[in-house]
Amino acid sequence: MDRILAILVFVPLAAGFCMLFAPRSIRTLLKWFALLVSIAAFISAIRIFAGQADTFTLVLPLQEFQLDLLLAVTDLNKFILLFATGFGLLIVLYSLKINPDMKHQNAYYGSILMAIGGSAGILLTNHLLWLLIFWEIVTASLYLLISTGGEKCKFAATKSFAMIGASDGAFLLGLAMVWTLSGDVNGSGTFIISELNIGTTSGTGIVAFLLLMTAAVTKAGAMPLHTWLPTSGQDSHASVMAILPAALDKLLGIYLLVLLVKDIFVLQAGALTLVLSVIGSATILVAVMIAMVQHNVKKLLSYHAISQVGYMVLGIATLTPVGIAGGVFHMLNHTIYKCCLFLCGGAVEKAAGTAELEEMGGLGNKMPWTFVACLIGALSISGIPPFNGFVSKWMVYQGVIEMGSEQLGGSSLWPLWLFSAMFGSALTLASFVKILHSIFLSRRPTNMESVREVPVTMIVPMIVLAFLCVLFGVAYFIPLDYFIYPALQMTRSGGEMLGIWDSATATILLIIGTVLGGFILLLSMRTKTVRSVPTWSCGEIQPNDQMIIPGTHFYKTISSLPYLRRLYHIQEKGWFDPYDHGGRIGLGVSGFLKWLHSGLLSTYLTWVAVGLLLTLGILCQIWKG
Amino acid sequence: MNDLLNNLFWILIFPGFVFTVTCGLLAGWVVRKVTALVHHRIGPPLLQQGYDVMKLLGKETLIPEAAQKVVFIAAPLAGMSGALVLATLLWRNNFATNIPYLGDVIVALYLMAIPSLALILGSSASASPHAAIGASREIKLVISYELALVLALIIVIIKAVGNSKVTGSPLYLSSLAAVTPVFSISGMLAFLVAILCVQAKLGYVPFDAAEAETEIAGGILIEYSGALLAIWQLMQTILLIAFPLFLVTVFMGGFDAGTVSALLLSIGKYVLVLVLLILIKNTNPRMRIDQVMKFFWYYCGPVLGFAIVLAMLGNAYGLGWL
Repeated sequence: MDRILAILVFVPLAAGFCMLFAPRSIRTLLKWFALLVSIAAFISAIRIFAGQADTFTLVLPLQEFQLDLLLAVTDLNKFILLFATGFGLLIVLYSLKINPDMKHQNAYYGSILMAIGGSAGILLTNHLLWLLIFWEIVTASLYLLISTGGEKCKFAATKSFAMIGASDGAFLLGLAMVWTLSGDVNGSGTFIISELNIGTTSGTGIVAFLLLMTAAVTKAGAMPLHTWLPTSGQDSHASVMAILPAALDKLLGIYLLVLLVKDIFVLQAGALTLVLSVIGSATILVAVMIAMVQHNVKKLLSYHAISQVGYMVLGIATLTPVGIAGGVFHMLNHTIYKCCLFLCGGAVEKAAGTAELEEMGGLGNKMPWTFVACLIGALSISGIPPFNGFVSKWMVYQGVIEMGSEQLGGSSLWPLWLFSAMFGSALTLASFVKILHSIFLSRRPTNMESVREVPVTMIVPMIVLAFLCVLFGVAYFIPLDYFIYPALQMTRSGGEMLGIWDSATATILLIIGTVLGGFILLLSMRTKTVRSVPTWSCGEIQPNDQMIIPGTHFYKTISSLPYLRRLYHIQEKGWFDPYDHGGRIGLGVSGFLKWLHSGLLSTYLTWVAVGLLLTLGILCQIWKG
Repeated sequence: MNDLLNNLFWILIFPGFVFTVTCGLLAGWVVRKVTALVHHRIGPPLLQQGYDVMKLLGKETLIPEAAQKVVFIAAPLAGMSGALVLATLLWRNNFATNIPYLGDVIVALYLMAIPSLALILGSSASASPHAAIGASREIKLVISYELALVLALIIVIIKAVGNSKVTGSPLYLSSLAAVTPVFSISGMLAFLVAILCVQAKLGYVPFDAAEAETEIAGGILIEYSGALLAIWQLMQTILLIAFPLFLVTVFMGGFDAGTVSALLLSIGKYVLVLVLLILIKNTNPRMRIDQVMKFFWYYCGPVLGFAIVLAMLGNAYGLGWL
């Protein structure tokens, strides 16, 4: 029994909860305290990762009702835990210098710590009810974190809370069904994850799986309940997006999905994997198509945070070893590069004072570190070899192809899944070209001349994450061997890979090629001069700002193509947003009630009389019976 | 160490830089000569392509003042390097079919994106409005043909999955070379569309909207001059070998250099692809970028979708010719 597990869960939770109510006068102290707690959490996560698998049990005296606190380390949760606490630490570090005059600093740091503790709880617990409790804590801390953005974030926070809350309701229902399904003849079921093994042949089993899956994919941000993500992305702080929707929510959602597929349920290839594949593929393509036409850097990144979930869900849906490993690896890679990209977005927003792509340009040499980190993140998410995003996407493709070649269920549609995954990757590249062009390359508007690089506490997290992107891409067997394969009870020699990708050699060759080009360049430049000249503007003399072609117009061509134009139009109207529809239904119901409560006494008396008659009628029926 | 030296030889001498660039310069001469014949001109001498590159290397290099200079200079290097690795990968997998080298067909597809990406980033860094328009067109070109190319490649993979002759993984380039999908209806459709994709990848008419000298004065390359432009030209030279070689490998049974007759046949396949590219280039006007998008998405896409259905049916009922 190891107390460190409970410490890792409850110390950040308690510290975060206390900080919510701390007075504003000690907010500088709170920052450093939050940093200290997150460092402590990260160190304990390292100790748990390095140590032997262990458990912690706290028996609660609740007699018949099983609610013992069971924490257990498995190969799957210990590496996710390591990264979750690591992201927490990096975000706290990043936040130290951002918004020093932020109003809700105690709420901000407090809810980050609660998110760390809650995530640790979700990952470590072996009891579904506790998992639900921690799950709600993370949802609540997301609400608090988004609302630290001020007045304009109220709507986003409410929307996120409502949508994730709705999916949590599905979780609760699913739990009730799991209890029934796992029950023996005496009727007492179990919530202990490691003891569950529910078949998905019965109707109840399928519904339970679908309900729990809804919770998992909504947390991760997949369609159709995804619209909370872009809404909150637009207004809240970039660091908020970086920690929860981009990092922790992905880790938790996909962790739960893996648990569902591998541990809690026994999934056969068939209708359920078909549902998962459809969700995955549709999410990839639709979200990236919407992302391409966005003008706000944080909103654009939010749509990619949705799109990339598709790869993870699709990988897991293949049910092949390489596909699941690819999905989980993509989850890890995604959290790294998307966290990095959101941090870059936040840095740019802080330095340039805007998140609108149209107003920026040419910041590359003003903010070299941010640019390098953003470039690496962009290349990774677009799946350019040899960065990490390529490896996990490549594994997901292999999973899909293997599913197709082994004639597993839903397999006859595998070309469709493969197409949406591969083409989605090209579209991702396109929308990141837009970001790179509009922010860092292109021409610098005159009012951006005074932009300076952000402080070092913000640069370090970005560079650390960018370095991980390169490391996990070039030496991808390191994360696979140490994190992914053990977690899924696989080995490298198992022959899971269909293809071949010698990333390290390819990187060396790419470097050799670049050096060769540089050599040719130097030889030539040694004999001839290099001259700096004004940009060629066809002989016309134009003011600087009028020579800027912003990247926001790049994909107008696509949004005005026939057929697509209509789709984009109704998307902008919010037709694909379940929250809006839910809101409309809610308004309809309340409108009906409002109509009933007209305030006219005579109408009320009529209703009372009708009600009495009905009651009497029913009572008479019962008496007669 | 030995491994590294081998790799070094492969990428620098044979079949990498020296060999591919020599072949590419020759192929570039063929392009210009055939174009001249179509125009009833005489055309350049054999070594003209080489002279052009050498001459550019000896010229002054101009860099725009407002440019992001590091990216502006690094982009051509990265692009050439990507092209070089792609060419080496394709050649090695054709020459030594028993050991898969470096990467599979998906890796090759993704390496093919690096040169375009480098072009876009380089032109975007040059701070010229013409180049920005060029970059915008180039990236739209990429997503246009990528849809068709991905579908074409899926057909090849379906063919490989369903082919009993494939012993290795269906993703290895060497296994794909054993399939020859071009001898089936779906494979033929895929091949024809893939040629158009390569046309667009090479920036040849009718898909040269990104350069469009007469419209946007060279677009993506407008600010490049001297040695940097020479590097771009070297990259194009390598790609002129690599892209058709990719088609030969995945659609036409590979480039076999085992015997003299096989070598001649392989060169014949390459020249066939090259001549098709040149003929399309010389008989078409430039398309607007929205026309290109519509062409690839609304025409090529559904055709290949149909071809995928055919290929799946062919697999299900054992009809290889579908």
